[in-house]
Amino acid sequence: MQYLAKKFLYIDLAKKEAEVKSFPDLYIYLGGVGVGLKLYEMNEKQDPLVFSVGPLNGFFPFVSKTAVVLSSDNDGSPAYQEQLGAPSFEPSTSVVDKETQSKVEDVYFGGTLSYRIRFAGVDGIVFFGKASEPLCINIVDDKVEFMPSYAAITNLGLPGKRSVLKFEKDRLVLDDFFLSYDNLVGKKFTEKNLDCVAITGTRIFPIENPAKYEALYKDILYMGCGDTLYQFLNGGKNLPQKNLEVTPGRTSSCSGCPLGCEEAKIGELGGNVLTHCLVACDFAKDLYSDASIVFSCLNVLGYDYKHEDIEKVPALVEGLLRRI
Amino acid sequence: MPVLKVAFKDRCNGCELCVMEVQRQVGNVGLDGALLRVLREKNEFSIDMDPQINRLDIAKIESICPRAVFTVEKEDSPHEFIE
Repeated sequence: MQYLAKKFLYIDLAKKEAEVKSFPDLYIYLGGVGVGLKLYEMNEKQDPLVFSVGPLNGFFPFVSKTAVVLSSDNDGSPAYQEQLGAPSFEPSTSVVDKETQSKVEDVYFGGTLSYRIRFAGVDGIVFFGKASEPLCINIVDDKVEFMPSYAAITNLGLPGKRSVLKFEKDRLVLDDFFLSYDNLVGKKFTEKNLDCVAITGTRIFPIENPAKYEALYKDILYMGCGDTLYQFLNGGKNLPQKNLEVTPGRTSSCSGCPLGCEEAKIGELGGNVLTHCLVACDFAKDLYSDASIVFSCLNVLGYDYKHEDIEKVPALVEGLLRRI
Repeated sequence: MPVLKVAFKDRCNGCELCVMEVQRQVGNVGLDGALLRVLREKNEFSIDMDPQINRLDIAKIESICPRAVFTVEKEDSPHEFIE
């Protein structure tokens, strides 16, 4: 398998045009926030809204998030937070654009979105410009349909293979449940005249070495859940346990995560750079900030990364942030 | 013959680990063509299963679910009547 070239679906909202662009050089940023920031830098003048996944999304447990990179006028002030009525987190990677004074933010959606983007066969989606009328966009793999209204949103995409982003009471909601931090993505949707987006992924990825892949998949699942959830499955194997920073809950889960924790609903802002390049759940950073685990996962999928490539990622992202 | 049943649909949290397990057993990663689908309606989930799923290792599918939604039950074959 050759996964190194990053493929992004570019959607021009003003012209109602879409195309898939391939970027062979962006593999060094791994994915997620790294590639998202690079694409933001490359297209800064067009106010891009970048959704980006990483090389492990869809393939391994707890790699369940989608990075969204966008400009925002969120100044983080108490007045702003009060106006939004949302909980406050400390951003770690947001930076201020020197020309426009707007802030570049990285926020993270849970839910099914990262799996749908991965199975659509792309590494992410970039929205440009502003639609002249409220638009609903139906994406099935790399095919894009522009529609004038979201009245028929429930009929878009394919059941069991789709994610839907739509407004409920002025807040953008994913899969009827998941939110983005401070509704930042919802605000950007409104600015761009986007009413809703449905994404369906129907691509299938064959696995070269199924036995090795399954063994690693389940090791990671057990490492994350440990004795609490999968003790009965572990068959006495002595795995180094790396607990997640959340406890199992009773809410909807993100795809590929068994926990259904309370934190999944709100989404994340900032956190560990390597984890967010992958784009794993930040509450699983004990697992996915471990370069040897990350390397094993990439290796079993046939990616041509080396240990050094993974170790360089945080410095590369830091360099990007300085430039922006 | 053991068959996989959705015994506790209400417990499903939509994690889709079962779908991935089914696909892994046929050597794929993805959602298309899966013998099991998790459908969402607001915050409730339903599970569609193709009867062909019983040709797979259903004990593995049952055990990967973190909420014990599935059970494996013994179902008499219709041929046993005839015999």
